Amino acid sequence: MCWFFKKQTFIFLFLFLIITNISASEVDTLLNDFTHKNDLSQKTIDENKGHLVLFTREKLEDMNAKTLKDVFKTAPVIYYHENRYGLPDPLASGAFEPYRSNFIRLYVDGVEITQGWMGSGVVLYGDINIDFVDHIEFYYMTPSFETSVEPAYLTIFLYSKDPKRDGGGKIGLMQGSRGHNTQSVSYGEEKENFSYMVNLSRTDAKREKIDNGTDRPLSRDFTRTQLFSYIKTDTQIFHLQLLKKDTDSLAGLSLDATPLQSEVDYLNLHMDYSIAISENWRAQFTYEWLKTNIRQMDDTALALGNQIFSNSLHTENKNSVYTGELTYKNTIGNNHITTGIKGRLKTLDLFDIEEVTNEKLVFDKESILSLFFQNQYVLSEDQLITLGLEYSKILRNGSINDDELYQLRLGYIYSSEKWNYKTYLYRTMFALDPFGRYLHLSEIENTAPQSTIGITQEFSYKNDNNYARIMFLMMQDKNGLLENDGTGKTQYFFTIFNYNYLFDINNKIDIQLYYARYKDIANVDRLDDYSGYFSTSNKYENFNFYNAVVWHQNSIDYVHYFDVTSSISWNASENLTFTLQGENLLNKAKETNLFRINPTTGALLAPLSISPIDQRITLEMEYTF
Amino acid sequence: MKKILLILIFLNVGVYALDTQSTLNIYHEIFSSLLGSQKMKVYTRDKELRQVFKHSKKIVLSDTLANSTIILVSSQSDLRRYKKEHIEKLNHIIMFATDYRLLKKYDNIVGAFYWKKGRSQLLFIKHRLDKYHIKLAPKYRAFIVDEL
Repeated sequence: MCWFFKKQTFIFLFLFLIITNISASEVDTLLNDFTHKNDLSQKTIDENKGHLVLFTREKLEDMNAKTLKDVFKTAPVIYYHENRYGLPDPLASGAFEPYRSNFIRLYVDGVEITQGWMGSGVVLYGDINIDFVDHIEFYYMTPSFETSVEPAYLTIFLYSKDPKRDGGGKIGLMQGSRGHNTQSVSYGEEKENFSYMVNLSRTDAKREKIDNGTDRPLSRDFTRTQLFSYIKTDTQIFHLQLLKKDTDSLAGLSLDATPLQSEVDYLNLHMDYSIAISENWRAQFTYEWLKTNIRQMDDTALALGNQIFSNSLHTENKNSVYTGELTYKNTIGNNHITTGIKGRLKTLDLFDIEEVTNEKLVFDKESILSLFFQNQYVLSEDQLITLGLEYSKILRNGSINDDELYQLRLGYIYSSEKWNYKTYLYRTMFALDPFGRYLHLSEIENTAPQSTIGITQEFSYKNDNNYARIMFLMMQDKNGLLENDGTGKTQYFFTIFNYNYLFDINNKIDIQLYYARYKDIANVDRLDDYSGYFSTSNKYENFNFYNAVVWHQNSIDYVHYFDVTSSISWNASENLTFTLQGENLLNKAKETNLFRINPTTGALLAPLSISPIDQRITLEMEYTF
Repeated sequence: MKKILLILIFLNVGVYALDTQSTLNIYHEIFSSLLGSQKMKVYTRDKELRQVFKHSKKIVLSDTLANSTIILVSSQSDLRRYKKEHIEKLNHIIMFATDYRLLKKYDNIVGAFYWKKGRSQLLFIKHRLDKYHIKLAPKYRAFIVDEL
């Protein structure tokens, strides 16, 4: 009898626990559903922009991503790469070009950040502190013409936090290996008729030195102070951003990568204002200003682009960019039409360098005027066709040729609750950036624009716990800006496979595989590139765990590279979190070559193999109030 | 299904609007747990939430504090305004917040549903629930704390 009662009690307790747990999961399910359907990314994703890679706020928090570099290093095609100046430049070849990533464009809250005369803002903003960021969207392929002023093959959109969700203050302090340290403070508030946010951060980056065979190893340490702020109402928003970065510029302009001095300092100001004039009309104005100081010294001649200078160089360079956009949107039957006009003026205000002759200073203005039309036609309840056309005229002074760019996008999207399919056909034209043109003036002053024809496809499936996607891209260039000398047409092919599995609200895995084949690019006839990413995110009581590995291999040497990151966060209270993180723990992250030339003989020296990812342990404290 | 495509096209227009169904689902759950059999007469000054609650068959939006059964506090200015209106005298009306800082700041608020690091969070404070004689179902056990 006693045994029977004990058994009954046990069964009752067991059932009670099961029922309690099931009920608890019901609340969890509601919370999870609310989180995903109300994530801010759900309000900004534009499927028509291209093929999306999304880093939600939840994902960024899981990854403990503190800089854009932490995100880039897991994203196919971009990954994270630095040029010979130690600056973010995903497409850098390791040769002597100033930068190469103009094909990648960066936006903050839908407004492009540029380096003005020097092109895409990726080089300047590619490793910024992202404490002000809510989520990040990458789009492969030519973006919607509604978004872009200048053509791009890949666009990155950073969206800032909203005080309604992240109101109040936050202080973040981080200390890492070699004395690396970061401080960040944010404050945001929602008022009756407006809201605002301010984020100020400072990074004193102490990075691994690179042995160049001398007693003066290459340095890429930097200090960066950045301010991000905005004020917005329901119909208007004004951004103010400031960035000051003083960096040791690795090999810099030294031919054999043995500089006596190699430093680049940036001071950047960005302001923009957007207004929804009516339900259909929207206007946006942007002003950017960039000052660059370059200090380089070597015991032999210095090289910038194809120009050779004496052994000491100090330049000061200032440029401004003014952009205006007016767009109109309307729905007529099944047609969702967007059209607009955009203008951009880039001026080189100062280029103070003794070696550059007066003749070259004549070219100091580039203007772009674009007209676009885009229609998204709803074919049926689950199908949509999109057509976009853009005409741009690029005007240059100083007897440099003008360019006309004609672009086309044609797409088809099928979308159901679980299955999605997208395909795009496009023709893009892309002009050489003014700074590159300026540096090599006599040789490439009238370089024709590159034309690219491409096709992409994407299949995806999702349900409550699974998400799987595969995408393919094929492109071919004509008059390619990156093609090998005297060869034909540069070709690209890549495929990306993603799979995410959600065990429950606290436990997830993320898998990604990437294969790319390039023909006739960056001084190689053919390049096969492979990579993978695997991560797990887990939460147990007050602890969060993140473990990830990024794997790389390519056909140049078939060496396997592994970048292993692990972090553990302890939520000591609702306001206070401590995080211990290890990055590149095996010290086997991807390395790329930095080319060197013997300044006396002109012969190629053995290249230096450098990883842009430092091995680093960090301890971080975050306090909200 | 057409809704899916229209969402694809216009998502970036209605910036920061809440998803109606998932928002109603969670608030229905929270309010019914707090109010039991009482009517959900909600007073809120939050424009987005008012817009969402208009679609509910269970929630009735109240125009005055005194006529409500639950007050939703969304901002510091809400709180200041309610204090001016001597909300402490309306001690039979339950107060619930959408911001953790408000829950911490004002002792009469029994719980909060808010965002933290990209996730929605639900939290109730036991002794404050006791003051209103609210006993939540066991499924909420993981969301109740003794104090902040």
